[in-house]
Amino acid sequence: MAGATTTFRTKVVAPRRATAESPWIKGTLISILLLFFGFFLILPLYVVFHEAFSKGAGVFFKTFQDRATAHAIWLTLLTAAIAVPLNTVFGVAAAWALTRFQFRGRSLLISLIDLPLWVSPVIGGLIYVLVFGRQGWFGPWLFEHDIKIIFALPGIVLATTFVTFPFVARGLIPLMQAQGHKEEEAAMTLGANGWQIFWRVTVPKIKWGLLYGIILCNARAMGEFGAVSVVSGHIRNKTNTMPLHIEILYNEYQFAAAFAVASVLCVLALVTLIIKTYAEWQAERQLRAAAESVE
Amino acid sequence: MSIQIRNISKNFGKFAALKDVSFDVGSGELVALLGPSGSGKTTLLRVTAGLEFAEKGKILYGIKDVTERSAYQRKAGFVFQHYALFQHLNIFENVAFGLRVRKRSERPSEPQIRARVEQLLDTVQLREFAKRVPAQLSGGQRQRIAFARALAIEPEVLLLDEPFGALDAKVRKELRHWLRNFHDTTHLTSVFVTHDQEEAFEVADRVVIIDKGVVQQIGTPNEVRENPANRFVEEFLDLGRDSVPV
Amino acid sequence: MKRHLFSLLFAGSALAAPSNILNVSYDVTREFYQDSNAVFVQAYRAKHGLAPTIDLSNGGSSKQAGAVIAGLEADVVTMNQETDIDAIARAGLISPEWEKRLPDNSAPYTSPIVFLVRKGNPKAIKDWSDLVKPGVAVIVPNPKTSGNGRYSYLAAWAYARAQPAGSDATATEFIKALFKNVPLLETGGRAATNAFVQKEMGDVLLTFESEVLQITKVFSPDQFDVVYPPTSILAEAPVSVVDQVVDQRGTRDLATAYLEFLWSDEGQKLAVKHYFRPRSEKLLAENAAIFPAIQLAKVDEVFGGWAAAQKTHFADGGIFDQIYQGK
Repeated sequence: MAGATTTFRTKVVAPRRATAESPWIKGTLISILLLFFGFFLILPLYVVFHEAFSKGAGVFFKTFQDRATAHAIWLTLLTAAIAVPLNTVFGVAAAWALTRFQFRGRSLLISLIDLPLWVSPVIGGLIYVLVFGRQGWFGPWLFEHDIKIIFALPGIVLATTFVTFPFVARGLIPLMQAQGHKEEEAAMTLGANGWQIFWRVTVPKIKWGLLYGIILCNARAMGEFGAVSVVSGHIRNKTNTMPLHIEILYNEYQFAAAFAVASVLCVLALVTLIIKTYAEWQAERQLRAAAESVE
Repeated sequence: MSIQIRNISKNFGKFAALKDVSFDVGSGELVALLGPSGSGKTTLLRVTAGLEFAEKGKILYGIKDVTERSAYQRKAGFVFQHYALFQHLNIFENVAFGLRVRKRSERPSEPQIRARVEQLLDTVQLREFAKRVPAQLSGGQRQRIAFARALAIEPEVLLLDEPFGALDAKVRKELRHWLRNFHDTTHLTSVFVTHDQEEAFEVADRVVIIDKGVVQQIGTPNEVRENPANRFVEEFLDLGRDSVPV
Repeated sequence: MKRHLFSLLFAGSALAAPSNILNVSYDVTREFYQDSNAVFVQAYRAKHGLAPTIDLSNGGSSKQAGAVIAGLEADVVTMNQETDIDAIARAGLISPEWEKRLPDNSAPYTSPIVFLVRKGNPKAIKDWSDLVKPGVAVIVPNPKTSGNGRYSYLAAWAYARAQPAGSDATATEFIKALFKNVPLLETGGRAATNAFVQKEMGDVLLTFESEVLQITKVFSPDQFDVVYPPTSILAEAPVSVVDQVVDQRGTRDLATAYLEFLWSDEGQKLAVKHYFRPRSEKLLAENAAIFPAIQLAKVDEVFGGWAAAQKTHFADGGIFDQIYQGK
């Protein structure tokens, strides 16, 4: 009430931020996080490498001399090398269209982009069998012209592309929405055409979101099992990717070898993580350098 | 270069933002579009710039009908309320941007670009900030850079969307004077949008008062003050010398 | 020219020339065919001067048959039961007379279903009736996707049917009780083996004799025991060329030679090496120690043929679906 006077009893208390949690909660949450992390991340990684070397380093390296294994690694890398750029282009185009243009059904499309994440990966493979298989829509035409899609590389690439296509788009859409397009408009008024706006203004802004999406896309592309298993045909030395090959080795009682190949996948994953972290660190460095430079 | 706005109507869905708006901006004039929030003044400016397209009407720059042309073809310098500087480029590159994206045949050489940018930075008195990034500048400084950037392309008209709206009172006053002086020297045809009548009356040659997508009155500040055309104009201006609250 | 270029780009192998064939097989034949392929290639080269390449694909038998129907370009299929090859024949890819083209109903070897138990047979499993005892966990592959699983199912059914006062009703009850004791269904024979051996699930594994004997080769006999029930079912493993594919690719001669090799002395010896029961009476007698005598029911006799068995038991809505719905 205006005008009323109040006396406050002052008690000296150690100042605590109004929004700080009690130390108990903080400790508990962190412990849970570490437990989770240790159990689901560190432990499996450790087991993979432990099992991989369980028969000694000699057997470990011999695994990779096997033709089928070497081919599986090659095929995985090749598939990722095709699927990831495809999805990058698609993801950027989709994010651009969905955040820059207003049109009917826009929200629906944004939700649909996530479709591959909702369906079981097996479905992701099955759809291509149904479309391109001998009994499928295009089957007869393809067989007449001796074009192999499923049970060959194109099918594997298609299935992999399908299951990984949301990642780039999803990384970019919220980012581009949040960033708005004022800078792009400014570029437009300065005479830049679409391409120039894209390369000079948009890409620098979305660089890190884009990189993150690509990293996720790559990781999934290399590790995909279900969808590829359906379209692969499991032909040794021809259509087995690393994940499929690991299953084969396991089924042949070659456990050390199976884990050896699995460890390669782990290493690839760790490498991608390192690249991403390095890239982020570089970005931060650049920003700081620009902020500090005085002329 | 004069600007002729003829019978512009623009809808956003069912909402009519502009209804049959027409007026002229004489060559070398500085005109203010004044009105309350939601009046359509910003929309009108963006249509003039080519950042939006109207359903009906024409825009002419001089004798050229630019209605069908997109913003990047119109050569209208635009200054945004929140500067819209390129965060990832330094000040020099921001200002140089418009020159660098020109077609190869029209693009100036590197020394020419450098000369032009430095000249512009001098005009806005920010030469020593050339290597800094926008994040390191104050609001007022950023807006001056935004000006310089817009001027780099040697525009035929200059369009400003509440250019001082994001700045504090003192800086606003300074930049207002600066704009007026600048205009007196260059006589660049300019249109700026504001909801602040004090600003409009102080800076502009003529004011166009808009409400609900319809032009209420056009005239010099004195004309409008002495002969308000209708009830709205009366009330709008009579709310004291303070800005109309948005 | 353009067409060939296209084929080059999309074809799996570099040259779709007749010196390469694909063998699409079922799950547990990996080791056998890797071995036999190598021997065949040598023999073929010695005879014809050209060394062919053999591609191999393994998986659950029905899944593989499905893949062939969907376009997996198999020159030959080597399955573990007729139904899968019949399905491919129905799809128009194999001649309906396929079974007669090679001896022994086109099955170069057989393997009955037997039991694998933990060392010492702690649960004292001796016969099919022991599988339905409470507290016994049985590992068997899914009859819907695996020929291996189907044979196990039919062997159990045949056993129940052959009991005194046995009928379709008692057999159904028996099967129901059996599958109640099954903790999980893997898609193929190998997966079931791994569940039993690696993951140490279950008390008894039902699978082909060849697989069981393989296990005791890879893992020491100190860990497992083989149990031969008094009766089981005759599981023939038929093979065939895929007519449409070999004619389109021009590989009929090579593919036929590849299959005929399985009946040769060499081929039959390799079968024995991998614990398949050979057709050669001589070899069977010579290896009586490895392949003890066992009374085997025939699918044709007990079930009126595979087609009938498939329809009654394994087709959608068949008896297996009915009894397994509960889970």
